[in-house]
Amino acid sequence: MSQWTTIVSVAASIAVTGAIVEALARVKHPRRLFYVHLGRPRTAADDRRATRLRLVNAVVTLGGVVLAVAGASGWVLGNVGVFCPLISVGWLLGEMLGAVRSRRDAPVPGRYRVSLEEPPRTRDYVSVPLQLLNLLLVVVPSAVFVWLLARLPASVPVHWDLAGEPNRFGSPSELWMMPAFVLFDVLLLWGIAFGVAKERWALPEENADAYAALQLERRTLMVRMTEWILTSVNLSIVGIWMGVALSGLPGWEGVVGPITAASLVVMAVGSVAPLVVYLRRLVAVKDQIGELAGTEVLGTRPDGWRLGGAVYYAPEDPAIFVPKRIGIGQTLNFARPTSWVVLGAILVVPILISVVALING
Amino acid sequence: MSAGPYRGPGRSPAAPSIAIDLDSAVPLYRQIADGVRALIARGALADGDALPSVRKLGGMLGVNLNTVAKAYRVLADERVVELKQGAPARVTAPPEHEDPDPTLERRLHDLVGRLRLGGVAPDDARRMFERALARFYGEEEGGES
Repeated sequence: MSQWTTIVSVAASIAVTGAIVEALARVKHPRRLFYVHLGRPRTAADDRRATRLRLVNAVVTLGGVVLAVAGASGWVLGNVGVFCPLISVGWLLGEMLGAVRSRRDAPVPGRYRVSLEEPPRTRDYVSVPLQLLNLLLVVVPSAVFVWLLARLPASVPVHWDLAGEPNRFGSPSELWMMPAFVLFDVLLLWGIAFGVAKERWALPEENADAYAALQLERRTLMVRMTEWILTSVNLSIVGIWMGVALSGLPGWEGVVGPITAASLVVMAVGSVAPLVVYLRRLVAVKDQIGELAGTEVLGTRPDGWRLGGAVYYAPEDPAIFVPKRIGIGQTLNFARPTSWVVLGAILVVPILISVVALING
Repeated sequence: MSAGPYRGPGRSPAAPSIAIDLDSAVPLYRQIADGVRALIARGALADGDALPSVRKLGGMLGVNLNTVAKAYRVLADERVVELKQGAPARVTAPPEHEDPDPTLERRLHDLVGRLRLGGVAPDDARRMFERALARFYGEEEGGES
């Protein structure tokens, strides 16, 4: 991987993080700040939070990109690439916490109606074409890789330093971990769709039909948005996998840089574009749900919401997955042991990857 | 936004459903028992129909499994539901042309007394009874009111 590829990758990752934070800070909504539902009209103090975040984020992002391009040494690139996004996201989380602490919520109504018919199931939420695409992203590159394995030398470069020089060689079969990541993403998506389908199908006494249609749309939007993001991540993983494998062939050493850079661009665009396309509609749907039912979390225990509505802890509620009261996604009922198992299962793979990465340097 | 074939709740207004009120003074097991009984009375659940398992209904309604089990036992004591070990609870229709349960009238008397104690005038009590009848039979014929 050449030097400029590294610079472009680091600068792009800083810029994408900065763009996401900027997009969140610019959300214009009468009752929301950074998609946090305030439960009260937005005030000048909330606007000041947004302005402060935009200022810090602009300085950090622009500074980071300039340093990445001008600094040029591997040490500067490494640190700028880690700390600039960390500062931007950290500041965002800090302002979000402030917004959460200033929330005022209407009480959750304890009245709802539950149909005895089967609600939509996991597979009703998943897109068949996107899942077929993900299946192809495992099968086709695996076939190509088997063909390549027979032609690759026993030892190929598998890791590069920030200057683009290979610093670790290994067996090409090590690259079988790449389709494992793709499969993990697919499993993650099905897990999310499963959790969405498990949410209680509680309906208000009034406007039950309109409410049910909005709930279905909200849940489908959440799954579809995640599906597009994970598909683009998988596309990117496959790109890097094929790039690294091809570069092991004699005479093909140069391909890994451009292919990796292109893959990272795919991942960056693929992570941001679904947010742009789906988030606005998702928030609008959630607002309509809140208006129809008097709450965004109908069917949950009113006394289960702790810490200003940030955490759901309801021993009397058998539910594991519940809609978030503050944000737009889902949270867990932490009074149930199964929720902790689910949390552990979600966290274990990233932790394992980090540990393996640390051991391999 | 299309979401594939979907014929779930909300799309068929007549779908059997149970109302839950966590803030009500009526205990949850009573609310569930009343809800299931009303569905049987309306014919939304017929003789021999299997009820959801205690675990499943508890998850659907958001109440403790023991609460659902208690509701099913109440219904079993009333002989509108049959409980068997290792099998789903099933609706049992009352035998045809059987004389009405004699305790029903006594309970109606009791209810009239409670209304009187609650300060409800006879005319208001009569209107309440008519309204309850109209609502029940209206829903039976025309789906959800």
